[in-house]
Amino acid sequence: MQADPSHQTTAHLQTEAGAPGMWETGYSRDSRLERGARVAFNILLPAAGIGFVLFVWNYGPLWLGLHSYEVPTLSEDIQALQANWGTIGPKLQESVADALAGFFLGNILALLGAIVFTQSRIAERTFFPLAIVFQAIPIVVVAPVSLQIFASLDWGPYDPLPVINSGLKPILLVTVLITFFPTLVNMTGGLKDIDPNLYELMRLIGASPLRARVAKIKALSPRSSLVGALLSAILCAVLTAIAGIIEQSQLLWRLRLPSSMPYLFSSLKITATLCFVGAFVGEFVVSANVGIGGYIKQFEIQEEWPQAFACVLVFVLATLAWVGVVVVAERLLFPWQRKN
Amino acid sequence: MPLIDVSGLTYYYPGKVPLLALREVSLQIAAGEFVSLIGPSGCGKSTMLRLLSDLLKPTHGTIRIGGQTPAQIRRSRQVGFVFQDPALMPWRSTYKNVLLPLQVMGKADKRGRAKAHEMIKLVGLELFESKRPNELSGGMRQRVSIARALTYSPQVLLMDEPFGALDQITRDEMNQELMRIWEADRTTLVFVTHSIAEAVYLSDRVIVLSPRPGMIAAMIDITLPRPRTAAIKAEPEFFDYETKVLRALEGRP
Repeated sequence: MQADPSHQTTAHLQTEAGAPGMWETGYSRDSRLERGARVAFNILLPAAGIGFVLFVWNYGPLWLGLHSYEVPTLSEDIQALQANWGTIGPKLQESVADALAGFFLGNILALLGAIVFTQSRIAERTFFPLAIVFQAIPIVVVAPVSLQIFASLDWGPYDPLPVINSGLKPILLVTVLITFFPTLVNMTGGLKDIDPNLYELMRLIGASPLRARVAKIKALSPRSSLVGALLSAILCAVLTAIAGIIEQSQLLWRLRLPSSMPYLFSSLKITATLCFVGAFVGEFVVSANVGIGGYIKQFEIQEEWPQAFACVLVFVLATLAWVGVVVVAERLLFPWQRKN
Repeated sequence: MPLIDVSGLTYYYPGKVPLLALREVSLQIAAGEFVSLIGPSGCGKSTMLRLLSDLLKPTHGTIRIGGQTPAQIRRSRQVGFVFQDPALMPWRSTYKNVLLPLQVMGKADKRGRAKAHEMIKLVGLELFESKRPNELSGGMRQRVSIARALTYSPQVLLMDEPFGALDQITRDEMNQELMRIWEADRTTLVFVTHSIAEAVYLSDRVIVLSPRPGMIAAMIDITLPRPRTAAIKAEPEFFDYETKVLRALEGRP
């Protein structure tokens, strides 16, 4: 079979690398050395960056002569975390639940919205600009407003979501809103970004057999009787509509959705962080002592900074863990995308 | 009675100033014939294929394929199309890509799956059934694309410069492959190309189009014996045909 031309180029470069020259270092003959350099570049450098910040965090306050009630050091924060894990742990669980509920609900709704937009130009023209506007509203504004809305609305027995505690609803609204719009905007583009040749192929092979049936009915349609003609026209219209739905759903499942997976995962990665931001802000504003966002406020009042920093630390770690889950999920589900 | 009957076909690309792509083209293609359309860029070769396959609608004139309109032919899924770009789904393996038309048509049953395997074997990719497109070479991808077009046994096969993006060596190899595949079942095939040698080597008839607007400049019957092998390219007759096509392209008698 034919060799991939790209292999030939690299092989060529490797043999050329024997000659001394200023570019030689770019193409190391020793692949182990090359791999070592890559590891150093991709792992050691970021680790050094993080290490530097942690180092400054730990020793900076000492050098500046600050006390733990002013700016605590990293080791004091970790000690505070160990001492208070019994209370911080459950609060973190609440926060994670708030964030993930918003992540899943917001992304699912956004995906459905984007599908509606690809199917209806009218819906897209009407609501897509609104989506952009909503995305521009800062989340710290959304949180108090949503709290106000839920405080004013009292559904009583007609509560549409009785499962969710009424104190949690404004938080859920914030996390849903903060995840919904980026995914909606991204996926509306993603579902449309399909290979034009594959689209033509789907048109060639995807015509529903119902269309042939409609053509037959039209040919047989009685011209003498008005009722007969009307009935066959209605039947044709209904069958054509059903054929259209079948064809569009084939296009959606077989082409649009699989093509848009890179877009979906880039949205998921963005919203994986945003949902935690939303949960924190929501909890902080709701002030019902819910989650880390609610819990941290009391340390602010009591000026217990090591505990506050301990909360921030675990919260950031939880966020990173969730982003990691999304990244790993993408690599496991769509391994070929990285090679392209 | 020809299988494909095109008469007075005119096509304007819509726009502020409609662009005339094809003017008054009439041609007949018999069942089982291999016809190449050749001409410079912008002569409406690809437009012709898109009109035949109902991806575009003619401005004037009629097309009949086996007495039916292109729309009817498309509805009954009788057209196979091979694009210049292989247009494979990167998330699907070779086998799944070939199976796609049958899945869409609801025919991916036991017989359909056997047919997909058979077509992959026909294009010589049985060892690569589970590979994804990014693991295949350019020539192999185009083989998958051909297998995909053959898998639902279309009445007419349309190929739009399928080997245009391949290097010369791979291209010659693919030409021989196509000859072998086509000579096995002789599906009516309309082939668009820029290459004179390719057109002469493959076709029963070469239709030369003149550019802007596309009109038929010449039709040249190629009566070289079949089955054709690469050796035929060294024959003086082959060279004569090439000269004829070249002259027609240059507008000389």
